[in-house]
Amino acid sequence: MRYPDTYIGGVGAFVPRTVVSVEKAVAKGWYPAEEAELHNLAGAVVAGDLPAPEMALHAARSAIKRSGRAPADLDLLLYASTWHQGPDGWPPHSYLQRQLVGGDVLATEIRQGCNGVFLALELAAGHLAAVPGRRAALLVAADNYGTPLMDRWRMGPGYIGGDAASALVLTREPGFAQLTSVCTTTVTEAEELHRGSEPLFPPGVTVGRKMSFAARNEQFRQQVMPKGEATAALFKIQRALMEVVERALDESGIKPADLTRVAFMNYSEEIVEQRCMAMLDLPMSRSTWDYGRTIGHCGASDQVLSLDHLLLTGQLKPGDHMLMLGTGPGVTVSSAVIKIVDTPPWV
Amino acid sequence: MTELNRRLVDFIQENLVQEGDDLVVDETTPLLTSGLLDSLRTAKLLNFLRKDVGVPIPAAKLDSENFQDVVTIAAMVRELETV
Repeated sequence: MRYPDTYIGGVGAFVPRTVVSVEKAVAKGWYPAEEAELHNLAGAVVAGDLPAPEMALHAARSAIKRSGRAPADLDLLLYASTWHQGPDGWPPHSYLQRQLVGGDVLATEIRQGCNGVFLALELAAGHLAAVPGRRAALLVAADNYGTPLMDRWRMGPGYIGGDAASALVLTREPGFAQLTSVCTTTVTEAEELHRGSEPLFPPGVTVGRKMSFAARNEQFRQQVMPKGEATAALFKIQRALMEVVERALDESGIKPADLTRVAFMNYSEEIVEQRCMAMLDLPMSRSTWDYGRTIGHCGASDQVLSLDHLLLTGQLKPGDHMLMLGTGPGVTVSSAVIKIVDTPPWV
Repeated sequence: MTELNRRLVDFIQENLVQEGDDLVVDETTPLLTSGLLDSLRTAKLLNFLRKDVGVPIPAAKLDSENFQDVVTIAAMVRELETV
């Protein structure tokens, strides 16, 4: 979807300093040596017992400060999470309302897995455009996977879980980058890919069941549907990825070759290359894989963390385009294109 | 077997059949019902068709019917070549 006059005013990131390397994880028996070789990932950033909402607050403060706006300017706060944030039933975005933006900002949590920020972008862009006078929205994402019932080293096929937070300030007035398109579609045939053969009731966490998308993916392939149907559903995911990319690029008036950088999810080298870069006919040097492999798959934050990194390392200049791409449970597939308008004031 | 079909059979056998899987691929091996074409391996096949065979497959053509087996893929490729 194309949203005229929608800009990014600020970007925030909170990446813990502690990195657990893949070598250490293999040596400790946490991560299989053959996966280390197959996926060529480097490590995962780990936040210890720092709560996700605390990391979110850091990232949000940074994004607002960098945007030059006051928290009171905001008309919306969307908080994307993929894993438990704090006491069940307690809304994590209320922590940011109390600590930062106040009670007059419409706020809610977005739970759309690893592409939650794309949904937040689309919802926020639409919200700001819907009523004259609405000016800015704060989009935040945060997760800490270092908890019981989750194993970051065996989270899913081709990725390891990293703890981090990210934030964007979306505005109607010109900012350093323009959001030229954001697109999402869902491959409904693959809905069971992320629940496998687990019962809907009682919810797994309430009976202390460990969470592993790797296990559920395997159940989906082997048990949930006849093999032909399951594979046909997975086959459609790649088509959906191509379609959302084609649409976002068309709406932005560019071709793949015009992309300066592409930020996929922080997955294995093979997945990023085959499912993303080769699909665009672009070299891995234009991906953000070399950064992403050092921090791990940080829930819904990967693409925004990549944007922050690219800006701070001078890899994006005025006139450049960046494609963000991701998939999530559902199976939902999303893309967004941003155009750099100006060098951000904080770089 | 045509040269294109041979190249497709060889590529699928060497790059998409996983280690420990004793599946022997031929022109009519069912690629979907055998579980071969998941999202990653579909991507690999599409990249092979674009780079090595020189025929990019548009998203609109990514229907299960066109990817039943090597014979249907080859027919689609030849059709796209004539466009």
